[in-house]
Amino acid sequence: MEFVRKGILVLLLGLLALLIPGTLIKSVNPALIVPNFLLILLVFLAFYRGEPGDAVLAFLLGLEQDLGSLNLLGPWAGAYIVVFGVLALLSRRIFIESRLVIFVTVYAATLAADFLYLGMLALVYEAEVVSSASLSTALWEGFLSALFAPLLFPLLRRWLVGDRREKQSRLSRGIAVRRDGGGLV
Amino acid sequence: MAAVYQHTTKTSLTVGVLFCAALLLCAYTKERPAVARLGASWVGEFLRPFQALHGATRHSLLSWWGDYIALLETQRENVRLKTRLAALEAQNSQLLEFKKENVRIRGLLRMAEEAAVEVVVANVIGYDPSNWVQVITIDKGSRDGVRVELPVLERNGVVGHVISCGAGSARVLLLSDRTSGIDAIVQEGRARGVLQGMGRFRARLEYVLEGGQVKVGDRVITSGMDNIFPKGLLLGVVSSVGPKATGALFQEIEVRSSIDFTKLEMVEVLVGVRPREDLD
Repeated sequence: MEFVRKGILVLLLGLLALLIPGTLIKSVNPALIVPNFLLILLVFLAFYRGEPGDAVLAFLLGLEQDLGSLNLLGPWAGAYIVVFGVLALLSRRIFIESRLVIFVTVYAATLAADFLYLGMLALVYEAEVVSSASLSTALWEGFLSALFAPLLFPLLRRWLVGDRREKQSRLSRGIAVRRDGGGLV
Repeated sequence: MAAVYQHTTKTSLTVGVLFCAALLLCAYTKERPAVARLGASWVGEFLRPFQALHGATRHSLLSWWGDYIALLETQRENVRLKTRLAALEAQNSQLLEFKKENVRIRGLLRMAEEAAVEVVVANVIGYDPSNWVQVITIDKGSRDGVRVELPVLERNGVVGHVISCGAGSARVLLLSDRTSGIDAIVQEGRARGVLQGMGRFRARLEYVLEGGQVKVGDRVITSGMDNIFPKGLLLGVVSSVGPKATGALFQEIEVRSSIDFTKLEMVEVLVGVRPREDLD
């Protein structure tokens, strides 16, 4: 029941993540590059939760992104699930609460998701979708997302990560938590 | 350790299955876009009230800023005059806005009459949340007569076409999107090609043979061959013609759209063509 409640919360946050860039930010200037809030949410899920059920949530977040853009379902869902998988598996071994690590991880995850998405789009439409402009857009989007991530993670942790028992259960599975940002087990 | 291994295997398996599901969805919805359209219209309808609320709030705040904050220094001079002046300015600003809107709508209607077409005028209420797709959301949908694949225009030319439609909102793929391709003609030299979006509000004319006479400043119009856009609508102006590469079959032509997409507020959806006598 708790998982369903948090799942619904994640999907609603996903819709909010679609709404903010599409209205608030782009109404100032549609040409602005916007951070990918959905991806920040995804990285958070992979790092702090990483359960198989969360993989389904990552997939649904990708579908939300797909539904918010072209008439094609799957490219974002595919890109997000791959990024989630890699991060969730990494978080089995490494779990670091450093802002710098969050920044670097979100930056790398955004670039990976963007190029996976463009790759899938190129595959489906058999069109040339990657250019030097795509690279610059991806780099800026990654940078902006990475800037926002350390600010949003504490909020997400409050809303989405359960009590100490959950953290304990992660620890019992061999995941170390260090608040100084330097450790791994 | 066994528990960690089991957990990792479970997560990997779930991720693998879901990735395959994503690929299958891609293939399925490419062939049957109606499924994706239905989902997109649900999401669009869910988000529409928030987008409309944001649009109205933004408009009010901008008016408030223009009417009161800009006049703050003047208002300090005289309290009595300040109240009177602010009220008049507010009224004046509103009237000016009405006047501008009137001119804009008159322009749109005149264009519609000249072309003998039926149009639905719509406001832009949202943009695509990602940086990769050039889509706008408008506040008119199926209950206003908007349908999928209808052309969307602005006073100065083609904006794009409707790709999904809910009851009260619709999503429009801009001509500058990478997945957009419009059959086009260069008005002066009559060279044929496809106007392909390049993202970031740019487009280029592709598949124009080397022999085709195209020069900077030429107007590019719709050819009417793609069954979406009627013939003769302005797409843009040739902004550059690339140097001819040795052995190249096609020319490299960049087109600057006639629309300033960053300032798009109102558009018109071309819902049908009427005989001229109906207009009279």
